Amino acid sequence: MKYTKNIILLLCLFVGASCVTDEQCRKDRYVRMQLGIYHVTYDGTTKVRTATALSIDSITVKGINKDSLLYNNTKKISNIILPLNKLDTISRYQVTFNNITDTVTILHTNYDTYLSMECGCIKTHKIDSAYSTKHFLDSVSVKTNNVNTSTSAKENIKLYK
Amino acid sequence: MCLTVFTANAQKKIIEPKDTIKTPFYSGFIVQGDIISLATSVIGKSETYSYEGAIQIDFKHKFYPIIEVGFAGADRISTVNNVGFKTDAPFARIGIDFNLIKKKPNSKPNSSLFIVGLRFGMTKFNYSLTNLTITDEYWGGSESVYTGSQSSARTWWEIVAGVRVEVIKNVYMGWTVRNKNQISSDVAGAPAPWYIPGFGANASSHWDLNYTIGYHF
Repeated sequence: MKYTKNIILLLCLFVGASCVTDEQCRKDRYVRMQLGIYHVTYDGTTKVRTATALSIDSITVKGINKDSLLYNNTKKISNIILPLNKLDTISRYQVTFNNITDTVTILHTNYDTYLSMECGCIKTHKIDSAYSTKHFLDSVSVKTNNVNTSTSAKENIKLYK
Repeated sequence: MCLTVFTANAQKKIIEPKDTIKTPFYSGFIVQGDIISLATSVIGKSETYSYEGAIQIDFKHKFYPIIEVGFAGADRISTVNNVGFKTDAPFARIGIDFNLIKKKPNSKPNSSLFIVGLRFGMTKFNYSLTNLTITDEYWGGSESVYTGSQSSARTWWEIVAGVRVEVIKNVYMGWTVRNKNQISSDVAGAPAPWYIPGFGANASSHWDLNYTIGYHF
């Protein structure tokens, strides 16, 4: 009885250790572009434009010529996170703000990025330019060109109302 | 006063013994092979293999410049995603060992060695990565990447320590522990080898063990 605990502990350690394998991908493979939505106000006296985050009541997003929705009538959000096309240099999205639809187009360069044997390869991107139709939106600007695993928290595109 | 000086000189003569057995500067050379890498490569069904040997010159039983040469490779398929890696290439290391066991005056050179040393290793090799594909889950489609042969040249340095014992006349056996540290490094985002011949799995550093058998000529 005295040694039972120790034996069980050793067995647990052995079993635990035997389940551990090195063949796992422990690297970040998440590559997404982040777009922030802003409302621009213009102060006539100071002649200064100020952009403030705009919360949209309802937003629906899908890729042009794609059926599946990336956002489906999502409420009260001021930024959206979208996948760029990995195998093409142009990504076009149909974005419906409340009931008004715009087409946002992103031109980008894709790069093969090797991570490891277990993680394989991912595509990272560099945004070359961005533009949109102007039904709801007024303009689009590129804030951060690079889209990779380390820029997932950064805003890449600003959409101005 | 004179007696004191005379006594001191007499003592000095007694304290300073002469080493009558002189060790020649060039004391031969040792040819040796690594048993561990040979055994694991031939007997074990490992994903990697390595065969290596060395020529070591014996200077005064103190300094042992060494050249190690070998041939190593790897053939592995990841069970996670079926990505394959294959390489084989020669490698070389040059360096020097120092015997830390001091010879006592008027004694024969000690047949056992406790050595510490340094190595500089190098290899140039080609490798292939297979089944590397990128799939676009949303927009659709997939493509294979890095399909051709990749080339790489790697360098590293090692600290070694070990013992060597003369088991029968002129035949030495012993083990060496190595701490290997890579000088060259991977370029972020570029394909990188999983295995480096002569160094081992691609990491900034790791430990290794050799068990050698050699003949002193």
